[in-house]
Amino acid sequence: MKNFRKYKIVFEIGVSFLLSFVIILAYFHETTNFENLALGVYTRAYYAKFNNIPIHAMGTRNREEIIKGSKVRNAKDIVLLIGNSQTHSINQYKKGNVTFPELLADSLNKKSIDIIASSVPNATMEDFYLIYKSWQKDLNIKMVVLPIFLDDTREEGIQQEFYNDIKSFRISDTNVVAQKINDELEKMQKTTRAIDLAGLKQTFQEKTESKFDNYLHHHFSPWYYRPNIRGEFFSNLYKLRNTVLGIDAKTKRGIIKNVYLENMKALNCILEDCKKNNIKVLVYIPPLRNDYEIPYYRDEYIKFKKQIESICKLYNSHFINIENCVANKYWGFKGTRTFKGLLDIDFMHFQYPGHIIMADTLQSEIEKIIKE
Amino acid sequence: MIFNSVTYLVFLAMAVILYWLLPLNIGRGLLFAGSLIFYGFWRWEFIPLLLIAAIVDYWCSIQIDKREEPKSRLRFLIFSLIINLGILFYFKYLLFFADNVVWTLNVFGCHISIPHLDIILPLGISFYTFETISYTVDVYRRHIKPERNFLTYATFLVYFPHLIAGPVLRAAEILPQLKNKKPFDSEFITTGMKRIIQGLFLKVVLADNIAPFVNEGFSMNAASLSAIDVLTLAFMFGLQIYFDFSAYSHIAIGSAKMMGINFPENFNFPYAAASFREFWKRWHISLSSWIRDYLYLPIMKTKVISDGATGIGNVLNDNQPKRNKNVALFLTWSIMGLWHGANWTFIFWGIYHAGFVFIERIINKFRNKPEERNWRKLFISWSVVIPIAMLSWIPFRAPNMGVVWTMYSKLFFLKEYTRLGMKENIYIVCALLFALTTLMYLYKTFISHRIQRVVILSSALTISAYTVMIILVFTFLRPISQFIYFQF
Repeated sequence: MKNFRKYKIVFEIGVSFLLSFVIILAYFHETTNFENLALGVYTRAYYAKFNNIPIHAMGTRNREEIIKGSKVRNAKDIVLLIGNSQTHSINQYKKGNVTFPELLADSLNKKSIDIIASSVPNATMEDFYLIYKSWQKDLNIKMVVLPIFLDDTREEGIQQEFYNDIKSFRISDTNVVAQKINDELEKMQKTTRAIDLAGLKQTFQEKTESKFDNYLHHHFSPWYYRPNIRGEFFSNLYKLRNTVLGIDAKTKRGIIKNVYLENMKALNCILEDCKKNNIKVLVYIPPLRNDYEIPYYRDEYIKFKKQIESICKLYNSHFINIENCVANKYWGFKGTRTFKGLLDIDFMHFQYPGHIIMADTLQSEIEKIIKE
Repeated sequence: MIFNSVTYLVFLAMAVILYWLLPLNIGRGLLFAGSLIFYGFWRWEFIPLLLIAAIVDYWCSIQIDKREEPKSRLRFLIFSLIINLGILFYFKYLLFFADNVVWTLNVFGCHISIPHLDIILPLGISFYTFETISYTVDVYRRHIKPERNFLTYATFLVYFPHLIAGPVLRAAEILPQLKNKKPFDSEFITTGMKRIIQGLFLKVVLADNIAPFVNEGFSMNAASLSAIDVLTLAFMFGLQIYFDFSAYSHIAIGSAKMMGINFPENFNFPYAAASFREFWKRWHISLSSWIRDYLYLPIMKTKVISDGATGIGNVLNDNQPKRNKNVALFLTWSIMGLWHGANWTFIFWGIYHAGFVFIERIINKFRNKPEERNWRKLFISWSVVIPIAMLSWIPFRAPNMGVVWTMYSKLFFLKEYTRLGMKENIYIVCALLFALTTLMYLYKTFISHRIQRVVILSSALTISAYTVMIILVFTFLRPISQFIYFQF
């Protein structure tokens, strides 16, 4: 009996190791593009260019090239468009489609107004603050254009992956939001591997672990793909959550009070800093399709819009509500983020005609404000 | 050396192979040297401190054994305690003590400042200090004979699987196993591996992935949290610390098992407890039994007749008169709190537990048959005890007492139960993990032994579970953080 038990355990653990090894070898080999995964197959990211020179950065990527291009163009006024994925995505993309920052650049450069855009998916106000401060350092910005999405006020902090080229940058302001962002930038100066080995900081084991990690990284490919598999694992958990709880694009998203307040603090910091530096600001409530019940609680959404307007008044910033400017027919669908069905309603990204409307709407506002 | 790392897995494989290949004496020497290397991978500068503790208690225990006169025996015991507790006080409590003295003097108008002291807490000091103390006390109580071979004694003290975060071992449990090597059995390896896989799964897959939720919650302004948020954070941290610490114990037990050495169990589904006494028989069992035998019972002036590691509250000699029972309870728990960390939050945590054990005692006095328990009563008790036990983790995790009071105050206002202040995922993850932990307990208690009878089904389930765990451990294995109990 004892022998049977012994061999049973050996058999079980042996087969478990063998099976896991086979599964690891079979599945740990692909790299997923998480940006496209997040946008879904029906929406495509597009970063604006002017005369084939990039003018639109994801976060602060390509900033050197963009700054250089702007200096060559030497326009009288520079307008910084900040945004989230709405600014850099085109729903039902077709060849030749461009985004509204590019359309604005095409028309406003003739009037010596240079457009620079910078956006990150699900951007928080802290992202906006960092983006604004980092571009303001190198460009003589005349005006900032900010969309405020209720959806994004449910997020907080900065999304580190978009600021790799400004790791050493620090916001010079002394407010708590700047301090928080600076702390996160400080953390970013550590490499991904250093973060993985954080538990061994300043120990001898840090060296050996680093050596083993390097060795496995180069000699055993499944080890290399582990971060990707971790990403997919969480993505599938997210889909599972949505499937089980019946969460889709139409599900109401309530305000998370603490997170919302943090976002409002950061918005105040941006507007205050712009006012101090004589930078004009246009804040807008972005387009939202209304052929379906919106994914917010009505009363919260109304309060949110009123609050943004009153904050703008406080700092003499310009405010417009263009939530209805893009007609419902110019919106589309996106790939579902559940394990059920294929399509879901896209409340964030509109089609190319929507970008044309956005460009027209913003152009008149920008020109008006610049002239003031 | 941190367990959740490739370095440790390579080190363990080498240690196990050499231990079984080499004869006993050389193997023991290798375990001693290997354990020092294991410790030195963190900071080699603290190895002499470890050796001082070993030498002092080795020498004192022999001196105690040599002498018959009680006063003389006591003198060596006190000497050992002064050295051990003195070192612990310097490294762990000096700053806390100095801060509080300065604060008190300032209150009375005497303004002084102290120079900045940069003291690094040596890893595992609280654990190995308790082990050396219990060894010398056991010799003093004549429960055990002192070990004459220094290498054997020092190997017991520094043996790497338990060195940094327990279980808190007794010499009587381990010394015989170190002196008499068992013949090799492949079951040692496979059983040990299973425990290590379980431990790594709990640490790198569960605890490390819960940590960001907990950190985010506790970094929020406490005043803006709702009562539901406070409860969720308490449960979430309760689960994190359980997964993290029980993971360490699993890996320690598994690593020792691979060398044929049995460690006592340290956790037994603590969140299935239906009373505070039961909770402490299920949580960190080796520490709670240590506290009982070397602190609680001596304070009560009750003679200790056994050194079994069965958890606190299991008073072995109930027929003896118990003096200062409640004083002993609160004093013991304050010290237990202080053992965890030099901060008032930990002392409060200890008193909190003592308070509820005390309340339980009073309730039991009024019960007709406190020992009679049916499922309905057990469920009701569990539903009351677990949220209260989970809430005790708030002072354990909060940075100061101000935050603790703010968080607790939320629980007393009805309107604070009507809103949520954190992202939805944290509530979902918390509910899911708590439900899974409870289901796991129910499975282990009521179902697993039945499944064991159906060999094919039990093997299929085991293989599936371990395959999933191995893949997830491979995916998430990285020393992204230390074990929570390293800081104690």
